[in-house]
Formats: sequence, structure tokens, C-alpha cells
Amino acid sequence: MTAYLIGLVVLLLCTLLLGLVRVFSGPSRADRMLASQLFGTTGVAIIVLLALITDMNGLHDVALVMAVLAPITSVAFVHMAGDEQR
Amino acid sequence: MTLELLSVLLAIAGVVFFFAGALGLLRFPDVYSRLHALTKADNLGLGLIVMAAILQSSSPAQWLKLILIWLMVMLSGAVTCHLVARRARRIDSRVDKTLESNARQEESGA
Amino acid sequence: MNRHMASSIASTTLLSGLIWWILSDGALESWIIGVPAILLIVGWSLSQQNSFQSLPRFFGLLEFVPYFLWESLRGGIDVARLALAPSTSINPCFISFDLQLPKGPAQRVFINTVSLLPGTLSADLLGEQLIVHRLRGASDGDQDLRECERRVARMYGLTLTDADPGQSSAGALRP
Repeated sequence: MTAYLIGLVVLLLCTLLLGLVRVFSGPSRADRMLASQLFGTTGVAIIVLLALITDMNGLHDVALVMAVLAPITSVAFVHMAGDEQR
Repeated sequence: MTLELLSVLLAIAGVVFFFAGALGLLRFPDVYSRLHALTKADNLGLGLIVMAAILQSSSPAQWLKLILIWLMVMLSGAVTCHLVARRARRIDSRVDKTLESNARQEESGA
Repeated sequence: MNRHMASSIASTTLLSGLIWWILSDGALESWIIGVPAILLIVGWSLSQQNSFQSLPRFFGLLEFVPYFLWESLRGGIDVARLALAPSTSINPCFISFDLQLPKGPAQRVFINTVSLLPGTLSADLLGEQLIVHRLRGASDGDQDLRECERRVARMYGLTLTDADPGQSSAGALRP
């Protein structure tokens, strides 16, 4: 019954790759800053699905930590990458 | 059984929204529109996936934890989106420089 | 100690206790760390100024949550439809929106909520002006933002400072 979940995880990874195209191609710095948000949200979704597949509730804690850390990386990105003028 | 089916449908819908978000990220013309796609579509996608997971788990503590995860992601998404948009605006707009310095003066005066 | 303070302490304690219970999966021995942590949080929130303002009213929250969920659902569907449509028919622009909410938690909640409303995204805060990015042009006015602001104000039990919303301008900043 979990086969479809594995398929969904693979699809989510594909959307992550699709989003990465934008992160790599830019063109502006702000476009690259979107990476942390993209990884944060999609990563949390993947972990939640993995918790369902493996039936390990402990993974929910991993997802929570990821959700809490994602904004910190974004803030660091914004402060460090944005200061110099383009 | 119907719950399981509903859960499957919700999870699939969630992935569709993630796909739409990534597509919007690729297709939209400027940073701000891409932020729209990333923030809204991905939050909704995650919400649907979280609901699918809630339908398949049994303990109330896990339901609440999943909802907490969603709330955290939503909060961080909104804050990040505002920060990135503001940074992008301040990097590429020189038109608003005077407006901005006026506002700063107001803030420091108040 | 007035009533505001007492209810603020009670709700902060309850809220952090609930979050601790969720995080620890209800493990009883974890409260050895949990209780001191909650006391620290309550003490810290008391040391902040206006701490009784920072939490919304309970019934206000109950009223706001369905609206918020519905609007974020609409927002997600709206932007997903735009992204999946064969031709992108978006007309992005910036507008400035005069905030009527006072500075503080309510204003922050409003700014973050705007990003999840359909078609709007809060881009910058200049003094009392919120710069909002819109996906569909400036033509449709700022009724949705006013509505949202009104609801946030009601959740916090505030009355909006400016009683004349007709005065506010929704002028386009940049084409």
C-alpha cells in the first residue's frame, strides 16, 4: 500500500530538481535566495511522506527541526548575500 | 478504507501543488512573482500532505505535531518571502531611495 | 497585577505547555526539563513591554483561523492555476498600502498574512506604508487587504486608527 507514497516522494524530488534549475540559472541574487525556502518546504514534505512509508514517527521531529532551521538559513542568505550592490 | 482513499487523494493533490510551485518558479517573469508561486503553492501543498499524513496516523499527539510542523513552515515561508522580496527591492530599486530614507527618518524620529 | 497580565500569564503557560506536550510525545519524565523551560518563557514574556498585547484573543483566533485557511487555500489554487496555464496572463505591479494597524504584533501578523492572500505579497515596509506586490495589476483596488486588516484588528480586539478607508490611496508605484 505504500508503493504510491514512494512514487509521490520521487515526484517531489523531481519538482525539487525543477526548482533547482531556477536557483542555478538565477539571474538575480534574490532568485538564488529562494533555494533555502524551496528546500525547506519540499524537504519537510518529503520527510513527512517518508515517516508514513517507514512508519517511524521519530521522523516528524526531523521535519520539525528542518522547518525551524529553514528560516535561519534564509535570514543568513539575505543578510550576507544582499549587502553588496549588484 | 474511505479514509485511506481520501488520504491518497490529498497526498496526490499536495504533490500537484508542489509541481505547480516549481513550474511557477521557472515560468514567472520576475522574482516577486516567483515568490508568490513558491510561498503560496508550496504551503498549500504541504498542508494537503500533512492532512494526508494525519488521516493515516492514530495518536492525537502526532496529529498536533504534524499541524505544528505545518504552522512552522507557514510562518517561516511568510517571513522568508517578505525578507527576500524586501532585499530584492532594495537591491534593484534606486528610484525609491529617497522614499526609503524619508521613512527611515520618520522611524528614528518617532 | 491586573486582569490582562493574569490572562496573559495563563495563556502563555497553557500554550507553551501544550507545545511541550506535543514535542515530547507526552513523555512524563520530560517535564523535568519542560517545567523550567515554560517558567523561563513566561518570565521572559513578562519582561517584554506590552506583553499582554502580543497574544490574540481566544475567540478572535477561532474566528480568524477559518478565514485564514480559506484564503490561503484560494491563494494556493489561484497561483497554481496561473503557473499551470498555457499562457501566463499575469500583470505584476507594486502598490502602496497605508497601514491602519498600530505597530506591534498585530501589524506583524497582518504583514505575514498578506503574503498568503490570493495574488498579494508584502514586499517592504516603509514607515506606515506597506509595499504590496500584486499578480493581477492594481485595478481591483485594495478591498481584500482592507478586509484582512479589519479581521486581524478584530482578532486582537483593536479598533483601527483611521476611520475613513476611502482616503487611502492604492496608487501604482511602478508599472
